[in-house]
Amino acid sequence: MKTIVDLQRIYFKYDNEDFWILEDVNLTLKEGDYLIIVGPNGGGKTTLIKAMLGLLTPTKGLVNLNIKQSDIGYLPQYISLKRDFPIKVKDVILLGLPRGKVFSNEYFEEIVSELKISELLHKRVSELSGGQLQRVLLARAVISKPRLLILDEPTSNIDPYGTFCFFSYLEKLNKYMTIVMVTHNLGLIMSGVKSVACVNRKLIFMDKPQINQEMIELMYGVHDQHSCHLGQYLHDEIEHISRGGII
Amino acid sequence: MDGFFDYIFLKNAIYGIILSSFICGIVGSIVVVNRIVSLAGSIAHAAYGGVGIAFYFGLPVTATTMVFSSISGFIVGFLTEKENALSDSFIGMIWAFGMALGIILTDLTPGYNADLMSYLFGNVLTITDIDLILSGILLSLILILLILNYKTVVLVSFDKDYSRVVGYRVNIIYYIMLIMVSLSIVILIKMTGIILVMAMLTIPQSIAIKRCKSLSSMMVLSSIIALLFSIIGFIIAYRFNLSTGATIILFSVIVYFIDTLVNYVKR
Repeated sequence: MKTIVDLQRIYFKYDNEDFWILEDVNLTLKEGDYLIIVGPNGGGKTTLIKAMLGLLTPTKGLVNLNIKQSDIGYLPQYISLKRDFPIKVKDVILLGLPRGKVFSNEYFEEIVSELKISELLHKRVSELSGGQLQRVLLARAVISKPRLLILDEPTSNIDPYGTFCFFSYLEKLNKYMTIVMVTHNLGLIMSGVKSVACVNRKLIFMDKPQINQEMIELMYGVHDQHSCHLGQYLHDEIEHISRGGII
Repeated sequence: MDGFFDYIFLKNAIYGIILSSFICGIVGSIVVVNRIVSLAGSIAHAAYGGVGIAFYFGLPVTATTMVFSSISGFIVGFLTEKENALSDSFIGMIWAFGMALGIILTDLTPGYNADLMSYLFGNVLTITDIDLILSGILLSLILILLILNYKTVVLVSFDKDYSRVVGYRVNIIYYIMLIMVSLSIVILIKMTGIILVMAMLTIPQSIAIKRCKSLSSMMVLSSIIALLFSIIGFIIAYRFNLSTGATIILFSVIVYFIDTLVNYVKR
């Protein structure tokens, strides 16, 4: 499989800070991967994908992106958007198309029907709920059929049924898109996900949809009785979801 | 109102109001959706520094102010992008710096006592044919740039990060927008004054944004509202012998508050 993104020994800190947000992070994404990045708040998950996307330049290390920038689809965090902007849902989706690229009606219909947003197309963005907006932004991210799809906390405002539909569609998209998704919700490690990276300043990679004790320790501190209980709880929850249970 | 259009200066005032309303409607929509009202205010007030330089060194006022404002716009845009947390402070600094520079240079200009008020509130009755030509050129330039790059302007204004990710050169587009704002402000200062420019760049747009489903419709509606405000304000000022700029601003603000109140009651 062809390498899509290769992060080599990435270190990152903000100009006015003296501690590393990311430290010696290595990660390789290959075509067809479906990676979920988990970790606690402030652990550097969003920083990591921003480095991948070229929105932040690492303090040290190399980011090798082996696809064109226009081959990336991105769903930003919900909070980063201007909700009062005068724009219709349909126009938001079409903004995802590169300049001059014509969209196929058939694919457009498929996206809006899979994401259950057909009824919203002529509404203003300000009229949408948080969950609806996130589905619309996923539609924008995939309308150009990108080779790499990066999602930052995509289901934080979506209800359980919406989340289920969202993930079912991602599984279909993964047939022709490499997917990277950031979340702090470990319950989202569900069917379709192929690998997990745990980030809390450092990164631990697991090439199957599981988390291990080492990852729990990285996320929540030293190995103790508390983290063991937490680990067991998370393990049970993930098992439940992978057997088809809804969060 | 008999013989209203018999005077050249009144005709020029009306033509100037029409042109400036459309410039303000379009550029103001960009300012409002990009949330750079303070930044635009800073450029507008810093323009006074350009006026001071022009008078002190005996340079052409419009050209000098255009250069000075574009540089101010570029600097404040750069600083606010680079040091986001301090952006408000930079905006305030450039705002005050331009005004202070203008006042000092005006004071130092031998034998000339420029009237600050005329630049703050402008005077539509002093609009010349040259002002109208410059405004017409600027409006045409803005329309051409916008028609050619409409989707880019919408995308960058709506979601800068996404635009960067998909390969748009966001910084260049952002600076072009700032320079467009700077040039518009300079052209409009003589006609409308610094204060009225800011009112016309924000009040019609704040009314229009709630009613529009696209940036282009917001630009059109804002232009129409700006035109109505300006003409009605102008007629009131002419009828009651009041200061034109201040009357237009007061009328606009009153309409804005009525509109907000009506919307609030409807909800």
